[in-house]
Amino acid sequence: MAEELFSEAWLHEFVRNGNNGPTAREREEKLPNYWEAVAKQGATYNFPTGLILKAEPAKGYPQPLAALLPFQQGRVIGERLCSVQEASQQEMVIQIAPSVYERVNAGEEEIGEAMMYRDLLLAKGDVATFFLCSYFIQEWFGFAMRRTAFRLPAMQTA
Amino acid sequence: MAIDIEAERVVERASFREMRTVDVNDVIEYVHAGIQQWPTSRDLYDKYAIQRWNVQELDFTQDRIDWETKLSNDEKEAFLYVATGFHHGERQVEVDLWPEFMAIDNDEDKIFLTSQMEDEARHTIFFDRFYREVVGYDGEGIRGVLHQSYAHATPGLVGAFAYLTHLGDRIRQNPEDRHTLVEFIAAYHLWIEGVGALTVMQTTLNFCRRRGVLPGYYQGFNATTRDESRHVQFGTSVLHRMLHEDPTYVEDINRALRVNLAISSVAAFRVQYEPLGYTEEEFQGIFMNQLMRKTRAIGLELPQDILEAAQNVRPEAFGGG
Ligand SMILES: [Fe+2]
Ligand SMILES: [Fe+2]
Repeated sequence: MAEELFSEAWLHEFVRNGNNGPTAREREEKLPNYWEAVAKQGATYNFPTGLILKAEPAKGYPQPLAALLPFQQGRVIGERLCSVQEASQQEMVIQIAPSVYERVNAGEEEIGEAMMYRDLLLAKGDVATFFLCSYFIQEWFGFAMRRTAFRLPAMQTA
Repeated sequence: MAIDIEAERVVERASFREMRTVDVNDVIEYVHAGIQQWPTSRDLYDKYAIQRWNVQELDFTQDRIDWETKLSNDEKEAFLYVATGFHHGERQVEVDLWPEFMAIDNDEDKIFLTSQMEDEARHTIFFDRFYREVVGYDGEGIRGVLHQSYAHATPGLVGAFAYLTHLGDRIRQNPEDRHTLVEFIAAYHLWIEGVGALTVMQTTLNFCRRRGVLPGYYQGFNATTRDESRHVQFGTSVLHRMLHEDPTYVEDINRALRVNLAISSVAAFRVQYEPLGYTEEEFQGIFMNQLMRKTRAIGLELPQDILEAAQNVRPEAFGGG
């Protein structure tokens, strides 16, 4: 069942989907060399990464929410929800808005568009280091965001 | 190959209409001839005033006919992969040029950059019109058409332009950070415009000429190539000047090259360039030539790891702005 963004259950599902990598079919759509490069980049992206969901009251998120994604060797191990402050202190900090998640999940925006438009924003961290891993980032977050269903919180009406 | 004075004069002075027949190879040579003369930003602004064109004057009627009746599906596919790098690239640089404008601290440079912003806006509209009127895409606003052409975007293209746009964001946050400014200028004016863009321009425009197709595209994109000459000459002279002030900036330039070379050394899928009349080796040769001419002009000695990485470049990640 679909869970709210940045709930415990959603976070574990999100990480599982990112870690799972390409399906056999997705693997076939791109060259073997490309997937080797993704794996190689993943092996170097060993950064504790803060993930922040930006506040977007119109989507039922009046406050930002945050999680910690400890990346090790191309996988996240030991993810947990955390305060925005704690997420902001990590070496790499990525920000997304609920509406961006919604569009990427629905296939209305590609993960690559989200990165070019800074809808998926590296808010903190060394830009060159991050983009040396740009294929890994595109794939990991693409899998996680496309595959993990969610529901928006019920809106409080006055 | 050097350009003779007469050909240089023709390129420099050609009206927008005359850009239909000016040889793109002369325009590419004109870019390099200009670098060696180290024009000032004021000179480049004055050239802009003479060379700017009106994108509304373009007529794509014949292009539409050529697209429908003369080009094979293979040619169209190859062409779309190449053009998409520019369609997205022009938009990215148009929207993200202003942090450079904000951070650069010389009045003449700022004045030139206002002209470059206007050029990039026009290039963005040129591609929007081409995709709507020739390829037949439809969509709401600039973004709607970009979303359709994204089907031909490569993960490498995304990497190069997302990298640039994030560097721009860092400059916005800290305009005093000269090192990030140099990294941005190298990623934009040296790599994207000076190397990737010119490689793609040379190949697609020669294709149009040889095949005798897409006259509107040729005219507009040839004028775009001439505009790029000012952008590349500006960027290389700023880098040259900054390196003179502080030789440690070389590390920032090298970082921008290393990131872009790493991105460009991997392809997610093969694009067949043969329908455009080029083999991969020829593409590679043109690319190397573009890279070496620019870096030599600004006096950069490329370290061995960059030279080696440059041997592995694949054109699939190239775009332009
Ligand atoms: Fe440009
Ligand atoms: Fe441009």
